[in-house]
Parts: sequence; structure tokens; C-alpha cells
Amino acid sequence: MQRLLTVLIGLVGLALFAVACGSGDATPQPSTTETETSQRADRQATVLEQEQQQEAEVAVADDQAEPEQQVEQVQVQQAQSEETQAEQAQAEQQVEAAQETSDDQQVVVLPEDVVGEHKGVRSERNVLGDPDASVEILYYGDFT
Amino acid sequence: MILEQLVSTGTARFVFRHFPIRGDQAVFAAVVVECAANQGAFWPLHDRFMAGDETLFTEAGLRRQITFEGLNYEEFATCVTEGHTFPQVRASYDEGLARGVQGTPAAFVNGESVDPTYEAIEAAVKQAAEEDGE
Repeated sequence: MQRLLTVLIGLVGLALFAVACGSGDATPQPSTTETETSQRADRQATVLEQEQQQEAEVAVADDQAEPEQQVEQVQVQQAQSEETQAEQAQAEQQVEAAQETSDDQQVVVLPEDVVGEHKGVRSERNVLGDPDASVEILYYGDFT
Repeated sequence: MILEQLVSTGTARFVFRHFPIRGDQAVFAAVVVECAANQGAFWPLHDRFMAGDETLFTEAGLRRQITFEGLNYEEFATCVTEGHTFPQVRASYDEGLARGVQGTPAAFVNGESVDPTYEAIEAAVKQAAEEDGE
């Protein structure tokens, strides 16, 4: 009988111990491993969010930079176009000049009796012959 | 040029004066010749005009001739378009008027008016030379 009481007391004690341990916070506390996992997930989420935010900012920046790049691109294209046009115009002028020169060479024949006809005769501005010659021939003329 | 026969011996000198009485083209030609003279090419342009080269009344013709003579065309063109030599042409014309010139050509030998033909000028030159030698 005494042994039975001892056993009962022991059982009651165990039961009380178990109740004492089970009372307090009804919410189950996460274990240390679970907490670390949760914190990591939070950090990952934060990092992911930050990354997404940074990407979004970069995208906005890219969007803002695009018009400038487009303007620069258009300017470069315009410059290239103008340069091309200038080169084309220059080439056309050269062709025209060459044609004109060619035409001139074909059309104009400088008569030998005019070119160099005063060779061997002293000449100064408006004066043929020796400026100190005793006789002066003064001649008035026009060219039509 | 027949006048060379008179001046090549050193007996006479031939002096040309502008007397443009046949319109704007004549004035233009005189200005052109004097602008060429500014670069030492009076006679080549004078001769071309006297030969009746109509191309000299065009820019292309003038450019060709001026370039052919080895002159600076830009300088020449500025001279012509700005009329730098017009006063000289005008002075020559006024001088002719003062001498009694009424038309072209007109010739004087030692200041005496003579018929503007080679024969008349030659005769006048010989006579003037003889008088100078006496």
C-alpha cells in the first residue's frame, strides 16, 4: 500500500510537472532553426525587393537616357547625311568643273596672232615701246 | 600688230587711252583691261578685246582668260565688280574730251591729231622723228 501511494505520488508529480511545462504561452515558439530560416527569408525578400527597386530605378534612368541617346543618334545621322550631301555636291562640282574645263578647252582657241604679239617689244602699262622715245602716238579707242 | 613696226625701232612709243563711247559694254571692257593691268597684263586683255573676243563679256570667259594669263582671278574679280579702275577709265575719257576727241578710234602724234590709219600715223611719226632730229 505504501508502495502504491509512492507510485501514485510519483505519477501525480510527473503529471503536475507536465502541466507546469505545458502551461504559460499557448503559442508555440519557433525553434532557433526556424527563426534563422525566417530571418534569412526576410533578408532575401528585402534584398530581392531592393534589387527590384534598383532595377526599376535603372530602368527609369534608362528611359530618361534614351531620348538623349536618340537625339545624339539623330544628330549623328543628320551630320552623316549632311556630310554625304556635301561630298555629293563637291563631287558634282568637280564633275561640272571638269566638264566646263573640257568644254573651254574645246571651244576656246587662243589665236597666235593675238597671244604674245607684243613679244620683243617693250611694254608698260598702256604703253608700247620705249617710254623715252621722242615720238608719242596717242591712241583713243574702245573695245566694242 | 602693225604698230609694233613703228615702236620696235625705238623711234616712237604707243600710248593707249580709253574712250568708251559705245555703251556699258565698252566701259566694262575698259574697266576689265585696267584691272588686268593692275596685275601687269594690260596688253593681253587689250589685244583680246581688240580681236573681238566676245567671251570676255562673260564671267566664264574672263575667268578662263585671266587664269590663262596667270593672274589672280579673285583679286581681278573684286577689282571689276567694285569698279576699282573706273576712275582711271573716266579720267582717260575726260582727257580725250579735253583734247577734242569725239569718236573712236582717234590718234595723236606728238599732240597733233592725225587720221587713225596706219599710213597716216606712220607718216606723222616719220615727220615728227625728222623734226626731232633736226
